Amino acid sequence: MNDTVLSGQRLQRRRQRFAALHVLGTIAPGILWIIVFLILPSVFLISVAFMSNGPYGTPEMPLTFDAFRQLAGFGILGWSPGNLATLGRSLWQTLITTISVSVIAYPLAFYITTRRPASRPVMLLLVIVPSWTNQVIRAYGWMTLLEPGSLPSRIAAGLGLIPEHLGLYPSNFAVGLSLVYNFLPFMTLPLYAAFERLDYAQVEAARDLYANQFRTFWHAVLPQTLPGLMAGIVLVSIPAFGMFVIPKLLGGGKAFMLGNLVANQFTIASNWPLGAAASILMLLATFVGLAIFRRMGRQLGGTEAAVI
Amino acid sequence: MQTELSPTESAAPLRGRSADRDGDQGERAGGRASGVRMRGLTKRFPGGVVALDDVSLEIQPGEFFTLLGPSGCGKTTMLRILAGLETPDRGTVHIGDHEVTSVPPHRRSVNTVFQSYALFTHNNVRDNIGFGLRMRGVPRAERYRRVESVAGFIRITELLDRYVDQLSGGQQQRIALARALINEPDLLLLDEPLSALDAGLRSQLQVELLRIQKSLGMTFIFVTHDQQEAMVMSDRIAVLHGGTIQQMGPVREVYEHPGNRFVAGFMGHANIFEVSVHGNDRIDTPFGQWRRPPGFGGDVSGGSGHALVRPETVRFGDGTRSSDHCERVRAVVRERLYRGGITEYRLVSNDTPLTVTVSNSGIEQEEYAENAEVDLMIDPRHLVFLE
Repeated sequence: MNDTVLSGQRLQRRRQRFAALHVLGTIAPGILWIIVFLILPSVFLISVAFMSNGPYGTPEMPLTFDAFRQLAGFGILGWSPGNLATLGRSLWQTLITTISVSVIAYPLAFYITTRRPASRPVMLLLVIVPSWTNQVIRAYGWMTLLEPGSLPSRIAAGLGLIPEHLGLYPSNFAVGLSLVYNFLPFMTLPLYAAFERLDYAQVEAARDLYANQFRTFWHAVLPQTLPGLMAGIVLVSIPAFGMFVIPKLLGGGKAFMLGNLVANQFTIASNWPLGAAASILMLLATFVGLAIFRRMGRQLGGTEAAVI
Repeated sequence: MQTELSPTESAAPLRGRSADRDGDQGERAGGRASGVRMRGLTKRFPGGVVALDDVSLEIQPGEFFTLLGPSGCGKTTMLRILAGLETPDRGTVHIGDHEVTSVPPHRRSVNTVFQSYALFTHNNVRDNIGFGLRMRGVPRAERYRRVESVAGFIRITELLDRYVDQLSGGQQQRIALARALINEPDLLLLDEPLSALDAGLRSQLQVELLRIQKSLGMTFIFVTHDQQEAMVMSDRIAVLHGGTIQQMGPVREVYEHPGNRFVAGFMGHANIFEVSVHGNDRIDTPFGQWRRPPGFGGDVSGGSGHALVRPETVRFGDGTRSSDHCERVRAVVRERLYRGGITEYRLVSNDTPLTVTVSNSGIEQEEYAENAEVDLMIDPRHLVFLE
């Protein structure tokens, strides 16, 4: 009798322990993932940024601010604006890319939404398919297309936009064009989703309440699609800011971006602390950008857009 | 029984209207309320659906006019043509003295209360209501002042700072109404504005809408598929079916003297049976030969058609009292449906179904069980001849 009661209690205790284990077992993979792929690399990156660069390109003690001084442009030969210019070029290129992608994707997404339901998936597929091929291959494709002597280059030269003997590649323009091409799907898809659930009755209400075509768009269409536009801006601007393949291949060394600076420090320049410091700068710039963006979104889009 | 608000007092919040209020009822129709004239309106949609087929209609200034019909009858299309959201294939629309057939919606002094309310989800209530004034360039301070006074009139002052997703259906309905009314349009269009609300709120808002319309003297055009609602609210109604007007007139006339079988059936419960006319004083009914009521079937002295008799005009005979005018019909009770205020009996006589409703007002009122044989008293003067 006693035995069974005891074993019953023991059973319950075991069950409780099992439940605790079960919860732990459920969340453990997630925690492990975060530790291994987020926290550890971040700690490593931040530590490296504060170390000295050894003679053989390995981070060494003691801890210094050398990497950050170098990043700000103070080198052995005095101050140079090179890194700051790279930061500025990255921000500018990101801004231009994001604006261009928005301007192209917004009417594109609207156009797709107005087609027959059967043809919409096909058109969306056409937007997405290019991104299934390798980024490097696409960059080489643009190279071939824009190199000196290619048809677009000859047309541009014929119009007097570029000197006769040069091509559209390599240039900032080639980088920008390729970036726009690369990120178009990331803007089109969230915008398409926003247009698809557009409440057309609100559009008619605006017309009914004396809004002309432009004001109807501004007051009834744009606010409704703003969440999609904002999602697209985040999806495009953050990876564009860190992009290094496209500037490297299509810029011909002239369109150096922050991503290239980081990549070079970890490879040919062998200056890990500087690379780590530049990475931290990129992260900070992204966070600041997102924070400003959130504020703007809340003011523009009322309650809904602030979710992003 | 209606909310007590004198026209002068209640209309004051809407600027510029109070001057018209001093007159009597007849002068209400003055002010800026406009009449509407539609001529030969035809609208076909892609796929061959004919929404309107050569419809002509005239609506008086200050009238509460209802377009009534089942879904797909063309009533919403007509409303959208009046709003300018749809262009007719043929025909003309005049509002007041102006032809507006191809005038875009934002240049018409017409506002709509949409079925889905269509409130701007990214604006709060204040800016929703003030939208029309903003588009017309009314400065912010003036705009908000007028929003406040309309909100007081519609009793939604405490909602002004909320967003649409924080409002109930009834509240959204009021705001949609305020957003349209504040512009003092020549014509207010209401597209089934109450259909999404539950019964209690619905009848409350019916009364309120009526109060607002009467006190402002505005022309209201109301679309509904609910004949009860149409009867409660309207001065006149037009019954639409298949893109054409079946009948148009004052509510009572349409209910009591429907022009055809569709209108008769749509306006309420209808007992319809075949009749044939024999000479000037006899008609054949499924229940026997009756005296021909004066004027029944017009001038025809022979031929056949249908007769309508409304369930509430039929009485149960008590077997003793004989009535001068009534015809006696022997019938069997098939079903008895208790509906609170009334009891509905479904009966059969000579294989012809009949429905009778009795008001539950008596203290010792007689009830008839199923399968009971009863005498029904029908006054032939209640018969309506239908082609």
